[in-house]
Amino acid sequence: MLAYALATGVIFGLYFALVGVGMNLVFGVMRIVNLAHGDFIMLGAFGAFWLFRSIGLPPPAVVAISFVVFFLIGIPIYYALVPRLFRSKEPEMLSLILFFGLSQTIEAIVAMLFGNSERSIPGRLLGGGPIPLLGQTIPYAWAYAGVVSVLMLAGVYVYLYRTRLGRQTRAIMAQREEAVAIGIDIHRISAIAFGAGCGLAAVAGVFAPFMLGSFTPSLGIPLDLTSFAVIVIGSLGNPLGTVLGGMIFGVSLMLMRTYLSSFADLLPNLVLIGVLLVRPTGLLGRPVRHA
Amino acid sequence: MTIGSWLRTAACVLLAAGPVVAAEAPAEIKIGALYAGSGQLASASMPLHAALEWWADGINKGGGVFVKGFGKKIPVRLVSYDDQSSPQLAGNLTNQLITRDKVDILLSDSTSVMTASAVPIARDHKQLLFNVTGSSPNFFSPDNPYIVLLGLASTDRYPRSLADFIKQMPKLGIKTVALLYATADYTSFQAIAARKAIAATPELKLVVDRGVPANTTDYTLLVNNIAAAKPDALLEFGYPANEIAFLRALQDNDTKFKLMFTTYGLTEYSLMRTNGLNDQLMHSYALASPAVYEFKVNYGLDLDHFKEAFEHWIESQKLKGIEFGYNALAGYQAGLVIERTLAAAESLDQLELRRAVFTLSGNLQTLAGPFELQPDGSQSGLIIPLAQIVPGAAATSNEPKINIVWPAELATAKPIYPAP
Repeated sequence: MLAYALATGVIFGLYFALVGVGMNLVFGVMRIVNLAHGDFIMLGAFGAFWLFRSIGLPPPAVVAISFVVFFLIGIPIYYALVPRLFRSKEPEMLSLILFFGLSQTIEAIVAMLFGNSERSIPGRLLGGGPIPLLGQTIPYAWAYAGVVSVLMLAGVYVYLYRTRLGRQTRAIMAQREEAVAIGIDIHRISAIAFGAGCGLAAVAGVFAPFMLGSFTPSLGIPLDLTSFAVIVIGSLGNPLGTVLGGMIFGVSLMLMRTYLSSFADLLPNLVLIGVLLVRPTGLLGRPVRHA
Repeated sequence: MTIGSWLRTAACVLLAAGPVVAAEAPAEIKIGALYAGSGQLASASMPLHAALEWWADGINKGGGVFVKGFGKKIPVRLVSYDDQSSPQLAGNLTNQLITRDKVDILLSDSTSVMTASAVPIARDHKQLLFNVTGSSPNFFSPDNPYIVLLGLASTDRYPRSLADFIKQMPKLGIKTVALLYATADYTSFQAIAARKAIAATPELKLVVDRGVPANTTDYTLLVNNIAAAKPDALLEFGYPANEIAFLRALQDNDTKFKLMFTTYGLTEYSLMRTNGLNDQLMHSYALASPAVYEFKVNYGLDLDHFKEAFEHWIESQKLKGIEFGYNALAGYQAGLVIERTLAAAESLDQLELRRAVFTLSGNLQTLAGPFELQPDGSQSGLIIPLAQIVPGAAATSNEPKINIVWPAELATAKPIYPAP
């Protein structure tokens, strides 16, 4: 039972990393908190519901379409909202209010259009049956989501560390003013990062019905809280720290569900508090020196 | 003093006292209600509120509700707020309905989770809480006259037929039972009743006893762990969102139990079917709630006519994602009880309303079953039979067949065990 809990915890950890990585990328580059991140995941779930059940597209197409569409949606949202935030005195604080408002608006519109009842997608639409694992089984959808999460996280790594745009992105994450001084087009890079954050959220949304059982328009806020926990445990502003944060969150959750299910939500949050007390910058965070 | 001056004085006194004796009828009866327009409990709450709106619309089209104290029909106005499935917000909004909107009739939102915060507030303000489906026994005490439960028996009495059936399980060859429940009042009390029945049956052994937070939406790990214990029967108690996730986990893992009970398998069958989970429910057991079981009616529409009217209302109002089920029926039941209460109430005084509600006890039978109140305001009338869901008569039929299996005097078929 322990081995099974750990194995499923790793799979969920990878998925939680995918859930949080987009938010962390946006925070790392722009230093703003996108509280509508969970709602983009929810929109991704609604999109997948429609693409799978109404159009019957194959899963890889649903993943690709979701990423591209939400990437393209994210770019105009960036230009409409974020440069205005940067002109304010407190962009970080104002971003909380602005994106919370956006989150509520998205939720209300989706609820008006589609209602509040739970929706789910049968796992068989991904094309496989249960997979044996350590004497038990896991749904095929979990394995699929785990693999896609690895691919998407690897994509983020390749983008950040193996491309010119990625180097510019990391330069902005490291020192925004100096990046401006050496001629990096801050808004172009930030818009791409914001679009990528939305695209990653949408891909996480495609698998939300399979990993979370069902979804409603209210899914956004709980997923924001999960994303926060995951990225704070890893390191706020360091997208790859999200992988570690996701693993710890996922394994904690599954251990609790196995051994103390009534308090399943407790341990991940206790881990979060513990990490904040011991390493306020997150497990992979570097101490900041203030001159 | 002359006789003439005595008469003049008496006339003045009577004229002055006149308006006090005959209170002026209000222009409208304000009915305060909460609903969860979003969040975990929206799918339970929205059908209830939609049914209440339909009822109020029908009443107003007929000129209003008859209030005995004023001897005439008065239009009703529904004052509703969205509590977003947040018990804290529900508490604030209940306070607002009482103190700012000054509603004449106060209704709680669906479920015990959302009712909990309204109970002490209503009591503090001496406002009678028409508790629609909050059936937790914790809400009722002999010293609180400001609450009456409209639908469902109190949760400790509600699963009586299941508890009795558990004691019969050894006759079917069942030896081991697993219990899985959401740790909210409504589901926990049912789990307690089931646990007591198992403990009272020496031939039965409880092999798994798991509680999960009410917001749990993934059951795969739990289902696998329970399957590993190989129980002969699994009793699952959850809210609709829990049950969708639970049934989805069974579907995705090709897991079946020889006997499975779910809380909402019948109550919210339409919602489960919309989610493609009706196959998982085949041969499972659930309480045959009023949404699927035809009770004898002496007031209001019967089940079929109400279902037809409700579905037409949902369509005409373009309400999305609202399914017919027990909660829709509970909303209509609330309207019927309000109607009959006002027809018996001499005034809108809250304790007079309570007196009037109690005159209905034992005399009112709606599509939600017999309306019988205990002195503490909880319901006792509704004994819901236990049913097994089996395939419909026609192979292509979408509608399942409901076999009542317990209590014995109502049974229409023997339980099919193990499930094929």
